[in-house]
Amino acid sequence: MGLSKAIIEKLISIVGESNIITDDVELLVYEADGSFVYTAKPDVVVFPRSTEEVARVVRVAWENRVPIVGRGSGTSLSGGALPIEGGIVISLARMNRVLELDLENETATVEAGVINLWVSDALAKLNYQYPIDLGYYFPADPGSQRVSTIGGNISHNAGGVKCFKYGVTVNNVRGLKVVLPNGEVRSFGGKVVESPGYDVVGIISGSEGTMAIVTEATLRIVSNYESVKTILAAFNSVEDAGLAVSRIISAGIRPVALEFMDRIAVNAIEAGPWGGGLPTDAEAILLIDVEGSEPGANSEANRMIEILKSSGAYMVKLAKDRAEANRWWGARKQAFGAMGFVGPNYITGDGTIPRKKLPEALRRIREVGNKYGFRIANVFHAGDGNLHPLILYDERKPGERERALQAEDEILRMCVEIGGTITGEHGVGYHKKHLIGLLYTDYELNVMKKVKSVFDPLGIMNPGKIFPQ
Amino acid sequence: MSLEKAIRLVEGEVSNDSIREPSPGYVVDGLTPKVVFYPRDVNELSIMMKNINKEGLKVIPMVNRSKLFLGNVPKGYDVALDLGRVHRVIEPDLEEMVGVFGVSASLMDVRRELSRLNRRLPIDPPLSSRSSIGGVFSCNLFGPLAYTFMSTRDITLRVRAVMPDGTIVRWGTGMIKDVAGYNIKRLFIGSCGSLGIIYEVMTRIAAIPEVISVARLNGELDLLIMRRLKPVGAVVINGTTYLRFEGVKEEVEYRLGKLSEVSRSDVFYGGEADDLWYRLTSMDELFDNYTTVLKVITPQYVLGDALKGVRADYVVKMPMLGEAYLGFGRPLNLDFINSLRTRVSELGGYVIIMKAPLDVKRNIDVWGLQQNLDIMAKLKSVFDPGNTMCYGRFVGGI
Repeated sequence: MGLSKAIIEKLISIVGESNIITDDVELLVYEADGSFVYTAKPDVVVFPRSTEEVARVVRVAWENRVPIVGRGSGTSLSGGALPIEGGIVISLARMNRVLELDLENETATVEAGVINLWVSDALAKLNYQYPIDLGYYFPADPGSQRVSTIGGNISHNAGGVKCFKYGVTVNNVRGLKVVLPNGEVRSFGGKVVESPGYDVVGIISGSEGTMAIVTEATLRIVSNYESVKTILAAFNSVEDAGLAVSRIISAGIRPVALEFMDRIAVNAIEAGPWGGGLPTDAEAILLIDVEGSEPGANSEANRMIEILKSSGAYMVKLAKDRAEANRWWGARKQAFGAMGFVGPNYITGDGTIPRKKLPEALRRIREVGNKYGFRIANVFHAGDGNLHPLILYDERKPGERERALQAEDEILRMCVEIGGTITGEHGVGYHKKHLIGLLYTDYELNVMKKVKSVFDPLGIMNPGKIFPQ
Repeated sequence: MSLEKAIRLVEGEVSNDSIREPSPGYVVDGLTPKVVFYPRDVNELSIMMKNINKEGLKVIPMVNRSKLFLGNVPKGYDVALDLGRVHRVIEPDLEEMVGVFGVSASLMDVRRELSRLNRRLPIDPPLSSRSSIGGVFSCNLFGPLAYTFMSTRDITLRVRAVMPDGTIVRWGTGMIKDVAGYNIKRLFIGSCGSLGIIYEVMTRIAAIPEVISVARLNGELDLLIMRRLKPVGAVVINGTTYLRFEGVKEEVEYRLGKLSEVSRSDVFYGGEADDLWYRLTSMDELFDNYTTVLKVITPQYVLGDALKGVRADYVVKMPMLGEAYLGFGRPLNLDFINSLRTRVSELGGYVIIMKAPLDVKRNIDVWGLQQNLDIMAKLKSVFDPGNTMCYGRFVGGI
């Protein structure tokens, strides 16, 4: 697209010379995001340090009809942070302050550029001040939490291993401060659990930066329990693991986390430096957390173990201490990154299916893998049905990337066919917008577009995402 | 705009008993509708809405009519849309732990049906004893259990609705994790019928735990101590505190043991505890016996500050949520309400007038929302550009 010198100078006057990138080489960093499938170069990247600076930048874009793309850490797996039509990338990376930790009202207020894990880290540091308390943490914990930002989590309505019990990001956001595409600053919600009127916090969450730029968020924080028990179970078949999941949930146990991995995923993790001692001979493993008082958590864990064994688990281990549990969870959370040990490239699929369809879904994913000649590892948030098929390919081989995308496409269509959806937490972005018609009619999509135009009548906010042109 | 034309168009396509004369039960804030449409099913509902919308009529949907007092005085009311026989569906999926519920299913029936299958809908809204799924979900009503199980809106996975123009739509796919497209279902839940007509929701359900107990304490507990005891929900009714503990036997025993270290209590278990809890949280006595009911919403820790000096005749507090319902038998003047609103607003909260005499409602917006009304109005106009639905009843008079 190209921006005029006048616009660049205006942006410099707002954010300062050291907070803007215009050099072609430096801009290369911002032409990709976590999807690594597509690239798109912005015209300029700015690093505002306050909501006021964001608002002034956005106003410039509005007045000149320049596209805007908000960016946190750029870990989007759906091309959400790619400036498909060029324009200004507004990086929130330097708006990274934890503004307030309010334990009395169980909220944390942070700038959008705060890394997800920093919220819980900041809360953990408070423990010594309140020895009678169990301490607090932020429960929305996507696998990317060490690098992804709160703003990014909100825009993609990120999930995490704890979402079966604590919900996804939108369930843990109480209030937002945003900059609308015309440069106005607005606040919605606050520290209260509900506000009268329509749920604007809810509609902006998960909108993938297509309605407004989130600059601050007030988050729900939850209290720890006295005890957490972590259980690792190994199965000779995926069907047995799936059965175990259903029986656990039917029994009334509310696990905090309930994760599934298949053999390829486990072996990839154990092949690298993040191995946690997961069983590499299992066809499927489950990693489960329960929490409560010490006697309560013990009892739940014991019941869990009984169910796992009676469902066909050939190995069930209770973590002997938090260190062992953290090793297991640390390994699980490196699952995506570990794919680098088994293949040069991979696509991270993200569909959700009814839990009971897991065996069928995995069988059909294997068939897709065989059809296209790819190995596909599977990580599954068993509690909520969110499936991540990791399609391993080699982009150096001509045509492999395109075939890998076709394989992913087929898998996502299958997810919809068996009653699920095309994205559980990574978003539609650029990558999957051609599939959204599988879920919604033209009428419904038109309503969604009109909702977008309430906030963004000029269509400058992260254009080219979610909806097919 | 022609009511007669709308009736003519509708009656050719629906069953004979789907159009009725209005009776006193359909009066809303002193306004009587000109006709009652009583669709037999979703198809008839769609036909009715198409024609209501085409003729520019104003409609208020209802099921059990237990919450008709909620909302501003309507700016127009031509048609009462009685959904009492539409889609009375209760379909739990025990394995997936989700349930599909139709608009006219009563919450009591849902509770009973699920209980037979060792399942439950984990919400405890006010007026649950007489509410339908439609009423509760359209207004996002919830009770103290929301502290643990999240709000009615949060547990909703999919909404099927009829738009004001009669189009049948679906928002959400029914998956717990689903970020495909915009989260329109979250706009519908809590819209109080102002965007369209919800005829079905799909929600999370939960298993009934091994042990349910409710402890009754004479008096109130400090909020921080209450939280530390880790009840799944807490309600205080006129100074008497009820804490709900549930889970495996060992967990409940532990929690009750910890409670006994800070307070004496009477403890109820099992079905008796559950019934007691739903009776309390239904707040029937409050809504039946008091002419004015205010809902105060604040950050949890300042709820006490908000209520300081407020002499209500009946008080239900949900301290872990930061919410309270206040009942007044005496007339309230606008100065009192406005002054309370100002104080609560300074604390970061809201005061909603749930129920009040007509002379009060005619002179005040019951919702009390001052900010972002322009965005609310624009959102409304996306779904209901003709102001067909609940005209004037929602925030800012939209």
